[in-house]
Amino acid sequence: MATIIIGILIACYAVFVIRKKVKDVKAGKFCSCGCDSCPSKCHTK
Amino acid sequence: MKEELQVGFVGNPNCGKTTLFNAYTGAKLKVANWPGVTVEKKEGAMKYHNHRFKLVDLPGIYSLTSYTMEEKLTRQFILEDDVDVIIDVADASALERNLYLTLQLIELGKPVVLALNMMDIVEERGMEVDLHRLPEMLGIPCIPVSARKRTGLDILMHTVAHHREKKQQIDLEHQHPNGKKSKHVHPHHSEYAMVYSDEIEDKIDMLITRLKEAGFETSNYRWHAIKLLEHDEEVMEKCRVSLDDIAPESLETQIINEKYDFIDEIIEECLVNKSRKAAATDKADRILTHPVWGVPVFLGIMALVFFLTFAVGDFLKGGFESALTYISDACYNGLNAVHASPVLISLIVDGIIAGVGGILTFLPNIFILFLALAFLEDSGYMSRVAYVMDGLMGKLGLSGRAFIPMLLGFGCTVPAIMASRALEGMRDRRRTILVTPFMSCSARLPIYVLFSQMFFKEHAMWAAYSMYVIGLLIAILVAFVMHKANKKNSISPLLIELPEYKTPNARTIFIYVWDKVKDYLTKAGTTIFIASIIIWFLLNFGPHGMVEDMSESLGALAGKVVAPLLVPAGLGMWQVVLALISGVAAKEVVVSSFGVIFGIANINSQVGMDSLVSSLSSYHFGPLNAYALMVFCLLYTPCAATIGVMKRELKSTKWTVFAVLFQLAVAWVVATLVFQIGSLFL
Amino acid sequence: MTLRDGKKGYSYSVCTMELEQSTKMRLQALGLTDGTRIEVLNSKKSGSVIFNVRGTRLAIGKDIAECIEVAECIEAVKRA
Repeated sequence: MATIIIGILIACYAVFVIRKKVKDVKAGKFCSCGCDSCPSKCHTK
Repeated sequence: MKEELQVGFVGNPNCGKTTLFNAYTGAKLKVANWPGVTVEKKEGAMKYHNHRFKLVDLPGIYSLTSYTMEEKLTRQFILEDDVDVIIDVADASALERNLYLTLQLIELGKPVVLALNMMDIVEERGMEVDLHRLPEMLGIPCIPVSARKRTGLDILMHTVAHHREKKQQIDLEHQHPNGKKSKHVHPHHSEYAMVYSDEIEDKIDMLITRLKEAGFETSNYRWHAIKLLEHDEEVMEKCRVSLDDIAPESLETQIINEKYDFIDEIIEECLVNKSRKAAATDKADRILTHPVWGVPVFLGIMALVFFLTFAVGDFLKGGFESALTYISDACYNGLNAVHASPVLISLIVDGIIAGVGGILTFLPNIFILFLALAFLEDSGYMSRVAYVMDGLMGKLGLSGRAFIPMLLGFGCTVPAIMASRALEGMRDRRRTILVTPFMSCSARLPIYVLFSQMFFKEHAMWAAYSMYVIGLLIAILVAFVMHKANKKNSISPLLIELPEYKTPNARTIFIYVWDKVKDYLTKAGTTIFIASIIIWFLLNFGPHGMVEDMSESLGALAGKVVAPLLVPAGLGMWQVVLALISGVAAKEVVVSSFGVIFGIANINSQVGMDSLVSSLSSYHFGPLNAYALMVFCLLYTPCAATIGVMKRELKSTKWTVFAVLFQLAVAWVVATLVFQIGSLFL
Repeated sequence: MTLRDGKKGYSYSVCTMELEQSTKMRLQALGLTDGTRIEVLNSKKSGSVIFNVRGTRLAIGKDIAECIEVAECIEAVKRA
């Protein structure tokens, strides 16, 4: 039982992280910290 | 609530625009004490009383011509976008130069408010600015502020909100250059502070008439006329009127001279004690930019930075290790207690904790490195490095300016590549971008710390320090070869402002270091977490499901395909190959993968290192192999984030692919040389 | 003489600048107009110079320094 719960938690987190990464990279954001000074918003010129 | 006001921050480089922007919006954009930190337009929002503001931070510029990328960007923004008010941020301690841009901004005809920043420094030095006379002469509000100490901010925004409908016309007292009385009747006197000599004013009037006749529509004929006299390319393109009789040649030099003549008058009247200089800066520069000692001093400072990184980082890591061992044990026991399946326990303990946890123990080293870099950047030393290194860089066909991105590369390659934007010319930028990844970034630090401590014991620090030197030498060599290979040897010469030294600001340092620590932690929780899980899967599953023996796993199979290629470099083990491949995600992953592959829970502890050494020596992996591995990690293909940002900055897939393959080749060649030559002696 | 031969601690006034248009305009925007007085703060054998112009410290490479024609200011010599 515990195996399933923990396994699902890890899987959920992994999916969340991967989706976020894909979204960031598509938005032209490469560093992972999400801070204001990271190269972002390049599409706004 | 009233409509939103769009406010643009414009000003010279390094005058504190971003500090002011941060103070208003609560953003944490990077600020430092060298010109050209901000390379991108950034937006933010704030509220003040009943007004909503949209603030725009722009890269610093010295003038509104269209010679450089930043100037074009800023000018375009002011002219085309709906800027309601321009805040002209000026460094009050260098008012004379800053006012030049101010005069140009006023000519644009948009509402301008002058923010006199760094008033605290002006006062410290005993200078005084006549805040009554200055606005009279310029015809715009002048508000003293200190972005660092956060004073005067409310008044500035208040002024901005009210200055928007600027059309009330103030009668200006006009200064005509050389004291000549103008025979002109200037209706525009009440609108523009700057009045030129009769000769120029005549031409402006003629051009305005001609522009109107040509049916050219604009809200600011005067500005277009002046730009036409300057033969500004963009404006000449836009308004095609004949200039042959009025200004067959560009009058730009004369216009600039007259502006500075007017500025001289302003300074004469508005600045008291202007001869007070920054004696401390001159004194420090006597040593730091010394013709002979400048370079050794720089190398000494860098050696000190790395010494602190290793020594102090080492000192602090003990606590992290005990904590990690404790967590690892607790997880193992806890999972056993709830009867989790062995597969899951293996995933969590051998995969996630070994990978992510192992990386976290290097946080102290990373912290110290960035703390030291933050001090360097905020002190004002960065510009001096450009000057000190100009001689060497000149031989490589680059300006000393290009050394700043390279130096930033010791922290992280991604922002370093971004910083190359401040360089003029695509050719210089491209070459700088290609060599910057050779500068050893902080992500490679864990690899050096780990392997040098495992194999070089008391010489660990030298082994690690040598990596930085090798990286720098390879970067220099590559830049040199590329310079020689290129027939067109035009060097863009050095031209950089040297700001005054100042005591680094606690807030600035904190933001800088916190950003990097957060970045590191996030990376551990995301990229390294995922990479560890993937590596664990690859190691525990074979083509036919779960495997008992790792050497039959998918990861081993993949590693064995590539391994023969790395035999000459002494790295022909599938475990090493797998770790190197995974390192493309992020360089730290090389270390976390070693942890997962060899099943070591706490790789940075003495026990962890001992067991990794004994595992590796069973494959005849000795100190020489370790050194070759360190060299390979230093030079090979940078991480995914770097590749991404390279592609964006180079604007070319071809060059990006070339860069990636080129670096891989360089890494292979150098690591092979190290291993083969080393084998002869050992 | 050119700025390249400028001696540390001495003041000069700018005569002419034979430079590429874009570099010239950048220098002029920084306040280096004809007749402007500058003070050399530091110079290296390689030809790069640090000087003070209108309250700003500027560092320039040899290629620029060579192209800026300057004349010595006499009163400044006395001071130095």
